[in-house]
Amino acid sequence: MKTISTLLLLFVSLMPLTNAIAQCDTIVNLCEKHITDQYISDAQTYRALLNGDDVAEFTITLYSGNTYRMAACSGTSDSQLIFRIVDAEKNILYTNSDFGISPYWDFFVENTMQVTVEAMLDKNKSDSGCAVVLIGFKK
Amino acid sequence: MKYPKINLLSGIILSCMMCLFSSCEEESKTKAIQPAAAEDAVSSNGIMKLNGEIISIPSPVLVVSLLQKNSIAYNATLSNPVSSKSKYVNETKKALNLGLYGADLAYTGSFNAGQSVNDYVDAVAGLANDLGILEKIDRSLVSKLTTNISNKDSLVKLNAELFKLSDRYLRDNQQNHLSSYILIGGWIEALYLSVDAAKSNQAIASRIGEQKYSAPSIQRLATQLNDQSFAGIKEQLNELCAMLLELESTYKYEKPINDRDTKTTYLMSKTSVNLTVEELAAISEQVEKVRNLIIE
Repeated sequence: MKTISTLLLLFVSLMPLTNAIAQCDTIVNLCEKHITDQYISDAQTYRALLNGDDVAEFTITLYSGNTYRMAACSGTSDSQLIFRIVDAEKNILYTNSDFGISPYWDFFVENTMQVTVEAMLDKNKSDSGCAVVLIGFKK
Repeated sequence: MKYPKINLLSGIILSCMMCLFSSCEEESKTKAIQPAAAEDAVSSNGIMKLNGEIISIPSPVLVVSLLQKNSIAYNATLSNPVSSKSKYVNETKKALNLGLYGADLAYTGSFNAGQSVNDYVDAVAGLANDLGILEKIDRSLVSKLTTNISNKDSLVKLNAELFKLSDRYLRDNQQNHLSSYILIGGWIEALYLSVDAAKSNQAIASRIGEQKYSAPSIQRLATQLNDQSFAGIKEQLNELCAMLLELESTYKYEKPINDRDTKTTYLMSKTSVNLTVEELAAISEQVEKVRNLIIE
């Protein structure tokens, strides 16, 4: 009985995690439609679970002469995730909130630079959920 | 420890309700992933930490593409021979060399190197299979790779797809360390493939210097990897990162230009990394040292 109880408790405690991962996987699959055939994936998936005002961020190097596509998704419909690109001096280079929370955007890079990608939920549409950012570069 | 039946039952019901609610709400308003429990758990499952960095390593495909843009001739002797694959017996070496062969596949594939491409597809598929990855992702990718060996665009895209699915599977299944080894192997091989050309080509030399930006990510990745068979590689890898980090660099902000119609932003800031001939020679030597430790 003790073993069964322990197993059940373990099952119960793991359910939210399983659910979270499944939710993220669904959003990743939906978000991939924005990285169209013209683009090659950078082979990585950037994900975070966000609540309220949480901001998820990662730093990436963008190489000169390339066009990158970034897609940002949360939930099962477009335009639920705000994302912005910030340089090393904290200048905001781009935010999709200036463009109707566009689910994807292209960036042509004149000179190789390191930028930070920040993602946060559009609080008008959701107050928690999985945030997904995908990056591809033009062939 | 005893768990009262009523509490256990309540827990199960509550948990089922939470799952049901989150699934239902997902359709209209994303919500209700269990914050505290999930947050700790997800960071160990490779999901980006809140307010923290995720490791981002440049794709080897970008480096190979730069070689092509600069009309650098294909050199078959640069790639790690596929016959070496049988030497890699432990998990760490298999993962490091999976990343390395992935870069070699991008290299041979981009240059339409005939039978070699097929050999590298086999090498990549073999190591992915040994690591238990292939059976968990779309196996048809390998046959698609094989049937597209003469179509470099498709090949490069499929190669990237294979590594993306591998990375996702490993991170979802608490095998971040394998994913990290693969990334490091790919990064080192991409550097190795370009250091020779960098001696006579400024654009490629600059790209080597720009790896300064990736060095902190590589260092952080390496710090988390403690397998004994990686210890010697880690030491030399950290030395390489230290050399890259010492390079002088500049940055000057320039206002980006937005084109709403094409949904494109032009990032115009000015940057440079200074790399002397001596520094390039030292970095090249160190890249070779790390790579030799990986492939031996």
